[in-house]
Amino acid sequence: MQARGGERQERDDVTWRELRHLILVTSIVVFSIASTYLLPFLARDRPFKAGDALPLASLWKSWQGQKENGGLAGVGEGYRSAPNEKEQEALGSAVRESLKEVQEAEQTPREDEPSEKSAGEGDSQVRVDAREYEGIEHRIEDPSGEGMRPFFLQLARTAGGKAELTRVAHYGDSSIATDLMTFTMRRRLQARFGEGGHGFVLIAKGFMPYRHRDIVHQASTNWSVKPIMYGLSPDGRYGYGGVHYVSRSGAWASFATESDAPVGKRITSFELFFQEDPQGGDIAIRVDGGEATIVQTRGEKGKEGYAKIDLSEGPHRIEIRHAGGGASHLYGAVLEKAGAGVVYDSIGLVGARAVRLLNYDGAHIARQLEHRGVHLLVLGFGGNEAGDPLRGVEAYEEDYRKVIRKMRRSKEMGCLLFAPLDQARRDESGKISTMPSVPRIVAAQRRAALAEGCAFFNTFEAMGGEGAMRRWYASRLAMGDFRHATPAGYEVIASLFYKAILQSFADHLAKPPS
Amino acid sequence: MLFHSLDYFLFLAIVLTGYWLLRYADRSRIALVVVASCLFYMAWNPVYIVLILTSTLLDYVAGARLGATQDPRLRKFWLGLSLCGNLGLLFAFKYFNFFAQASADIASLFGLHWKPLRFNVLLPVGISFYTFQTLSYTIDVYRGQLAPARSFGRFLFFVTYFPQLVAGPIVRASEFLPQLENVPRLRRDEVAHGLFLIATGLAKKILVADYLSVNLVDRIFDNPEGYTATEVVAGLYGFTMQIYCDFSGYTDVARGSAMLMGIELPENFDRPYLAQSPADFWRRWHMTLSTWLRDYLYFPLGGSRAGPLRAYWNLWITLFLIGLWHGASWTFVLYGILQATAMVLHRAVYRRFPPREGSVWLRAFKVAACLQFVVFSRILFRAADLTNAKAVTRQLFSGTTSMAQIAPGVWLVLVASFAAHFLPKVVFQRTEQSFVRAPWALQGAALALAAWGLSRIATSQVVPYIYFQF
Repeated sequence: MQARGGERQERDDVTWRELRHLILVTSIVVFSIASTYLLPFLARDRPFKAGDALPLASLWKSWQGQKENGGLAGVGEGYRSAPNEKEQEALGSAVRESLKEVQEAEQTPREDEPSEKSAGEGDSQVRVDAREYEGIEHRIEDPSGEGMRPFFLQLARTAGGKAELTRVAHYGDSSIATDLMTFTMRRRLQARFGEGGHGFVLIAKGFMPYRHRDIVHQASTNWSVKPIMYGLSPDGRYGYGGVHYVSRSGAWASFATESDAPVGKRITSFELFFQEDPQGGDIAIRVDGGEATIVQTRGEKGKEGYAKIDLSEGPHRIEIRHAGGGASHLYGAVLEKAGAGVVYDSIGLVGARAVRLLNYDGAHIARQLEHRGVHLLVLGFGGNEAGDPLRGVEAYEEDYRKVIRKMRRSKEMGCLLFAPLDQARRDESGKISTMPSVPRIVAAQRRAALAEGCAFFNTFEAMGGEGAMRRWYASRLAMGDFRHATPAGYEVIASLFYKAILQSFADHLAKPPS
Repeated sequence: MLFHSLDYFLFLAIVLTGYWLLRYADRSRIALVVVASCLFYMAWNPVYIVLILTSTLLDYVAGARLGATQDPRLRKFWLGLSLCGNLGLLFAFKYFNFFAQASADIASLFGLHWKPLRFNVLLPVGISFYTFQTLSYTIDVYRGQLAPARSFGRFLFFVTYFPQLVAGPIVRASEFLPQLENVPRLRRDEVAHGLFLIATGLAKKILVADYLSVNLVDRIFDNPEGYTATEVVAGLYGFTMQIYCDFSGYTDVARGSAMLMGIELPENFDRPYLAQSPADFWRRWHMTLSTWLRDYLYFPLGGSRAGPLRAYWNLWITLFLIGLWHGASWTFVLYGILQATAMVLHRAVYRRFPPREGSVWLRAFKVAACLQFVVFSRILFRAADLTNAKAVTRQLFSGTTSMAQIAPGVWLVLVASFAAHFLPKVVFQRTEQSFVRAPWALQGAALALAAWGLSRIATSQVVPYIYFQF
C-alpha cells in the first residue's frame, strides 16, 4: 500500500517536473517572439502585425466567411471536385459563354484547312457580324481612338483581301510565356482573318516555362541566356523578344511546322534576328536538311542584323547551328506565311514586372519593333507586381507610363494595356480572396493607358472582378497557386479578349472614314 | 484551424493550461477538452459538428445497449444500427453523388438515360476518420473485447479529440478510452519528445510538403502539357514526398500535441518508401487505416485461412476499399484496383517463389522497384480527374527530356528529402535524443530558431493538409 502510494507520488513529481519543463521551454519561445516587437530590426519576423485579424478571434471571421462562401471554402474540398452548377453560375454569363465555346471547340473535330478562308476575303466591304461577339460584357476602352486605330486600319486591309499581314506583339509575364492564351488568340484571329504564320519565336527555352505552340521547337542547352528581367546586358540590347542568346560551340535550335496543328502548317519565310559583333561567329541555317546557308554575324558592335530566307509555301523544318568563328548573338526567329493574314507574337517573360522593359535601350527596341512591322503592341503585366510591396500606386502608374513611352516611340503602332488576371491568396481559414493590390494595380494601369493614348482591356473585370480567382478555381479554370489560369482558363480569357477586339473593330468599321 | 498556424498554438496553449489546472477535476477537464475540440472542428464548418454529435450519440447508445444485453438478436440489431447509421452518413456525404453519377453514366452506355440525383453538400472534414473510430468502438463492444464507455463525456472526448479529429491517426477506442480512466500524468521526458515531434511535423509540412506543392507538384498537375517527361517524373516524385511529409507531418503534430496532455496516439508511418513490396508498403503507410481494415474487414472475411482463391479475393477487396476510402471518384476506384491487383499478384508470386534472404543489392532493387510503383500509382491519387491523369501519363511517355523548368531550390528540397527518408533510423533517434537531453534553455532556443526559419521559408499560400479531404 505504502509502495503504491510512493509510486503515485513519484509519478506526480515527474508530471510536475515535466510541466515546469514545458513552461520554461515555452517561455523561451514566447520571449523570442516578444523580442521581435522590442527590437526594430526583427520587425519583419513578427508573427502578428498591426491590422492583422486577431488570432483566434479571426475564427469567428472565418465562420462568417464560410457562410458567405457557402461552405469550406477550399479546405478539404479535394484537389478539384467537379464544378457544379452553382459554381458555373457564379462565373457570370460572359465567362460561361466563352467556356462553353472552348468546351465545344474541344469536342468538335478539327477541320483540315480551317483557316484558309477569312470572312472578308475577296470582299472589299469588310463586316463584322454582331453574333461574332455576342454575350460580351467588357469592352476595350479607347476613348482617344488612337490606341487601336493603326491596328484596325491594317486589319481592315487584311480583312479586305489585301495580301498584307497584320502583326500583334503581346508582351507579358508567365501568363503569356506558356503561349496558352496567345495561341488561342493566334488561332482565332487567323481562322477569322487569314493565316500569317507563327510569328516570333525565341531561340531556346531560356527560362521556365516558355512555349510556342503549333510548332516543333527544340534547342540545345548550351546557349548562354540573358533575359531582360535580370538586366545582364549593360547596353540594353535584348532584342524584340527580350532575351539575348549567345551561342557556344555546338549550340543549335530547330523550328518546324507541325503536321497536325490547326494553323501554321505552311510557311513562306524564315527570318533570324541577331546582333552584329566585331568577333561575331557564323550561323548555318539549314532548311529541310538541305544545304546550309551561312549567316555571318560579324559587324559593327550592337547593330541589329536580320537574315531572311524565302521558302516555298509548305511545311518546313529549319535548323540553325553555331558554325564557327566567335560567339554569335541572337534574339530569335520569325516564321511567317505571306498573304492576307494575322500574326500574333507571344513574348512572355517569366517573373517579369513591367518596369523590366525599362532595361531596354530605347532606340534599339524601337528599331526592332519597326523592323518587325508591329501594328498593335499589347503590354500585359501586373500579375507579379500584385505580390510585391507596392511603392505606391502613383509611382507604379508613373513607371508604367515610362514603359509605354519607351516601347511605343511611334504612333503608327497601336497600343493596348492588358490588365492582369485576378491574383488571389488562400488564408488559414481556407478562404480564397483577391489580393488587395490587384484592383489598385488595375486602376493605375487604366489611368496610365488612357493618359498615354493607349487602349485598355480590363482582364480582371472580364474574369469577374473581386473574387474571380476563387470562382475560376472552383470551376477548374484557375490553377492552385491562384495566380495563373489553367489551359482552359487561358482559352476563356483569350475568347473574352478576342470578342472585345472584334467588337471594337466593328465599331471602328461603323465609323465614317475620317 | 491548421496545425501550422499561430491560431493553433495559441489554442493549444489555452487548452493545455486549462487541462493541467483541471487535472484532478475529472468532469471539468473532460468538458473542457470536448468543448475545445468542438470549437476546433467548427473552425472549418460549424454546421457539421451536428454530424459528429449524431454519430457519437448513436454509437454511445449502441455500445451501452450492447453492454446491457446478451440477447443475440438485440445485439445484432444494435450493431447493425450503428453500422448502418455511420456508414450511411459516410455514404450520403462522401459517396452518394459519385455512385449516382456513375450509375447514370453506366446506364447511358446501354441506352438508358436519367439525370442523377445530386446532393449539393460539401464533404465534412474528417468524416472518414471519425466514422472508422466510432465503428471500432461498437464492433469491439459487440465482440466483447471492450467494455462500454463509462460516460458519454468520456466517449465524446474520444471521438472529438482535436489533435486527431480531422486526419487521424485512426485511434481505436480500446487504445484510447483506458487512457482517460486515471488522472492524467506525464512520463519522464514526454514533454521534450512531444515538442520534438511537433517541430518535426511542422518542418515536414512547411519545408517539404508545402514547398514542393506550390513550386512543383501543383504546377505540373494543373498544366501537364507545359512540362517535359523528365519534369513530370520530378513532379511525381515531388508529390510522393509531398504527401508523405504532409500526412506524416500532420500525424507528428497530432501525436506531439496529445503527448503534452499525457495521451498516447499510435504511430501511423514507418518510412514507407523503404518498403520492399506492396504488402510491405501498406504495413508502413497509414498503418492505422491498414490495420483497421485488416482487423475489421479482412479477418472477418476469413483472411488468408479461407482457401487460396477466397484469400486472394479477401485481400483484393480490402485493398480496393483502402483505395476507395480516400475519395469518391474514378481516379480512386482505379487507384484501389491498381493497389489491390499489385498486392494479389505479389502474393501469388510470393507463394510460388518463396523469398530467400537476399543480398543488399537485391533488397535495394526491391525497394527501388516498389518505389517506382508507388510513384507511378500516385498519378491517380493526385490527378483532379481521369482526364488529368491521362494528360499526366501521356506527358510522362512523351520522350521529352529538358529539366529547364525546375528551379534549383526544388531539386535541393526533393533530393534532400528523399536522402533523409533513406537515412538509417538511428540517425533520427540520435537527433531526438540529443534534443531531449539538452537543457530546457537550449531546447527553447532550438524551437524558437526552428519557428523563425520555418516562418521565413513558408510559402505565402496556406496549403491545407491533403488528408483533410478524406
